[in-house]
Amino acid sequence: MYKGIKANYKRLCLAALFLALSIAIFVLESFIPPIGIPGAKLGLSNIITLLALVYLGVRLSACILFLRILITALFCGTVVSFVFSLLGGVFAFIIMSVMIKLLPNKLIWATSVMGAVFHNIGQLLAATIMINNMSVWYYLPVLTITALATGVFTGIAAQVTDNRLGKIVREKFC
Amino acid sequence: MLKTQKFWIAIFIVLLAACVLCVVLFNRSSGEAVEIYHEDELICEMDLSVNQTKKFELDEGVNVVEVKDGSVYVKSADCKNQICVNSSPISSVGSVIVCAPHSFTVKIASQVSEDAYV
Repeated sequence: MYKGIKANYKRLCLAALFLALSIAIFVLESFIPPIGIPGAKLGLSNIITLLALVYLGVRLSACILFLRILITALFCGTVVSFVFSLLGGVFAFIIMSVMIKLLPNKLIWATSVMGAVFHNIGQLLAATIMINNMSVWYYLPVLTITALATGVFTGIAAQVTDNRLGKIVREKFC
Repeated sequence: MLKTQKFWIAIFIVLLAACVLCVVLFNRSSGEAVEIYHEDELICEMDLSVNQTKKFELDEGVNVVEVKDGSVYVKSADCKNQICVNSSPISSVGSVIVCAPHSFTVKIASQVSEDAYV
């Protein structure tokens, strides 16, 4: 572990890397056509959010998440998509930051799944506010099913990354 | 580690089961049209929203079908087993009442007029 100012520089560099990665993954993912339910995405950028939570802590991860949402909405999104992303991201982040502290490192996938579920809840909340109608909540069971599936997928991806790179990252950057 | 892992796996399986249950239970759509088939051929269509009684005189026998309060049932028939008469009224899309001896089927469709048939 590096101490003092050097530690902050290193962490900042890692955070910047993660932000760039997150944006890149998001843009790439936007090329995958939505199958099944409209708006159900794989949520691959969540891998970065998870890894950031593990290596960089809550505050920097929150910055990375917010900046990613802002930048992607500015460059390839609409105001509506920004609100949806933001609410979903905030909900997911709150639950994930709590869980990442409580769970051992082997259970990143569980955090990911809960994050995905709450992300959907956040987006449904954004939808109810936007159209002033409670009927969107009928989508919740279906969305939760997809959230469980995609959450496991991203969680395993993050888990595998942590297993292989965790040691090096902690050594060099944290 | 194994214990917390099992705990979370259990939670997610329960959540998955609950959602599947919700999807199945809440998404039963009530139909609007009743289709009557004799020997796999559509012989009649009825509107579920209109209370009516219709008598079908087939070569094999007679079936009386009644639509009441948004569901349809077989009021009476002269078949031996009376399974069709004893079936409870149906209203959700896809459900059927069959009178096997008469090759007579009552089926719920989603739209009042099916494009293929009218």
